[in-house]
Amino acid sequence: MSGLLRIGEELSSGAVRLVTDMADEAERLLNETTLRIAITGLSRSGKTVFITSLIANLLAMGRGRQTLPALSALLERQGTVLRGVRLEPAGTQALDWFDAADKIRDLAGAQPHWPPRTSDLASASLTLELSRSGPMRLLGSRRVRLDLLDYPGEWLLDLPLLDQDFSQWSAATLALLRAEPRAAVAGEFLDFVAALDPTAVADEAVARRGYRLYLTLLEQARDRFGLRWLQPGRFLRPGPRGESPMMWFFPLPGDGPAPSGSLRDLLARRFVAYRDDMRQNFFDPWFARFDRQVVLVDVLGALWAGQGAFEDTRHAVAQIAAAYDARSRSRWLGLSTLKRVGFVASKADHVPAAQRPALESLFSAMMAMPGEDRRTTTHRAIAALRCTEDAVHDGLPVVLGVPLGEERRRPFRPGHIPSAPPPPGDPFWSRPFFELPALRPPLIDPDGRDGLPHLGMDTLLAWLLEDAL
Amino acid sequence: MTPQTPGWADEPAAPAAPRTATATPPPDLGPALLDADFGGPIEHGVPAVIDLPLEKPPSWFGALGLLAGAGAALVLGTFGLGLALMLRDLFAASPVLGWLGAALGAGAGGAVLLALGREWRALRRLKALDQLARDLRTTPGTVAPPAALLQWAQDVGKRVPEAVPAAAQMLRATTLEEALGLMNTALLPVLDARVKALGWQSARQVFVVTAILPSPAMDAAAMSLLGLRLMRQVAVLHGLRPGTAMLWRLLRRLTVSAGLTAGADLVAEAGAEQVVHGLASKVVGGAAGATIAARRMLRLAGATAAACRPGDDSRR
Repeated sequence: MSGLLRIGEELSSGAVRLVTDMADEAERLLNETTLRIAITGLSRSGKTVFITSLIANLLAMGRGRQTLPALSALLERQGTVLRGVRLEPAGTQALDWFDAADKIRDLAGAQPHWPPRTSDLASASLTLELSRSGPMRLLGSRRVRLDLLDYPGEWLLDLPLLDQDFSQWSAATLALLRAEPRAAVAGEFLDFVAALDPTAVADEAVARRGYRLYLTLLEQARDRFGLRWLQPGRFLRPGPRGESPMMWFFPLPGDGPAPSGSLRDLLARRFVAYRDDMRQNFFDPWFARFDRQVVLVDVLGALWAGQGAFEDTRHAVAQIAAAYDARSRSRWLGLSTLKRVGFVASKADHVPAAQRPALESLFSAMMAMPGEDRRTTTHRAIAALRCTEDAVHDGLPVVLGVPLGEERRRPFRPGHIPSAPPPPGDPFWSRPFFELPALRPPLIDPDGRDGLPHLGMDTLLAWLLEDAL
Repeated sequence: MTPQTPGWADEPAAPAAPRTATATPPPDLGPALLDADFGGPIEHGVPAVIDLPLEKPPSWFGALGLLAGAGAALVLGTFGLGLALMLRDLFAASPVLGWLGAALGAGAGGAVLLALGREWRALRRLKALDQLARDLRTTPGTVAPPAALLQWAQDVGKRVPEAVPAAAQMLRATTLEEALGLMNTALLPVLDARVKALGWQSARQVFVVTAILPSPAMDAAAMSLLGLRLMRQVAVLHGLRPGTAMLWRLLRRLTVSAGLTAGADLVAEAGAEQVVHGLASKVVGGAAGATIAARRMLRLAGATAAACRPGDDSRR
């Protein structure tokens, strides 16, 4: 009798376990959605602050603060209630953990400062728990998981390299170096390259000297002219693994296969090793199959740096967006997984409200590219962390902000913001180089209780996540 | 008024709206950081507090509650009035009988008051738990853990000895994030093991009862009784005082959050029936229904435990 009871008990336990597992899986399939959001942008475009603000504001909203009014309004219109937002635990990932709380403490400290340049990959995941309405309520709460990735913006420039070989890259790069404004800093390197015989036997000292000269030229182009299209990206930000021999190459002219053992052969092999390393360790694992994309662009910095920097930024962003689009397409059907792409002009708080429409219009015209109608895109001007207040000074609109390192707020006048990119030769481009002033973050709660003050983050998020919430 | 808008012809024209737009900078004006002092650091306003979603039970529960309240008032009122009449008659017959009757009435009334007091304390405990859950939800993870959470952990330690080390670690936590982490990884697993044992015990009973009982109505009655007993056991394990009103509240809360499992249950039920009936019907016969019923006991134990906890997931 007891044996029969034991068999019955085991049978019931097994059946219950089976159903429990099935129910858990069914519940996950019904209620869980994961969105991979690519936060894309060149260096200093504000990716880290954008992600920090996104996390801080969503967490504060989950705690009952009205930090993202447009998103709240969207949820209300859809009859959805946000039941909570939580940061997912780090799990077993090999990547750095994006510590938003630490970054908020940096911004809110006694000596507030902006997060340092990102030097490696870091990721974070947020889960929004949303209750359904109507009869669908029976299905239970939905969970929308947002996967976010932060990385050095410079590395993104290597994305277009994946489809090039050494000859193509060298030809394109040398052509750029011979044109203004790069030509002003590329003289020494171009002279060095002109003196070389590409078919000569490879010499390590020559290769390393060429690499050093090329690196110096990239640094000067970045610092003196504010240029952004500077390949390969890891030359300027090598990351935690530092500099390695595969990086000791530079563009060298020549077509066809290089003679074995020649300098060009050595450089081409290093180029291929570098490209494959970026593909295997960076792009393939982390840059495939995104569902949403935010492309951050420091438009104001480029605009005030001059025509060369402006065109350079436009070119870089267009190339990156195209490379992203290509990587997000399925191999066989050519369908894109990227449902929405938001092009964002960051640091819009440096411009008073009266001039922001002009900034958005300028940005739209700057980023307009053929083929955009294939996916849903938007162009917006936002500030992930608003450091200024609007005011009027001498009859003109200005913003008030505290320059970094100072204590008192001063008016910043952005001057004339054209609503379309000025044509080449326009007097607008004859202005001297002006560097966007670094402003001190506003006074914020170091615990992120109230989120981070922003401009337009809510409308951007509402648009980006509209169909997923 | 313009010729296109309706209105009286002799009505005086409204004053023109003041021009609020500021002048736009001339095209030749470049960017500049001006040298003027406009005050101290920038501080934006604090965002408004929005109403956190509260679980509102369906309205018919409210009506039922009102009905129950009216019934209770009627019973208690009738009892009081009857007692008064009886005491008057007893005192009229004999003072001794009157005092004996008064003592009896006082004893019965005292017992009723004691019961009401217990119910009130049970409800107060549940309310304190709700308040703690709300505090945890609105507090950032980087601040010190609230004293009520640590007190709750200590209380759990008093009831469940194997949870004492976890509660002690929680007391040492410096931030709420740490305290919640320790609660989720050290304290709750201990409670989960107890809840699971209670759930399995009820699940086995339900499996046997529903497999044996011949009528679905009797199945339902047995499941209800076993379910209520299980809820009470789990609530007491979590430090809630047993009480009818508290159980009623808990039940209402579970009916609101039952949607969490209903959709998945439907799918799983259909799948299980396919598996059990299709592949093993000859072995287990009509055990599919009993399996689902037993599984629901486990889900009930889990859902009750979640509703009795202050953590992030407790309000689901």
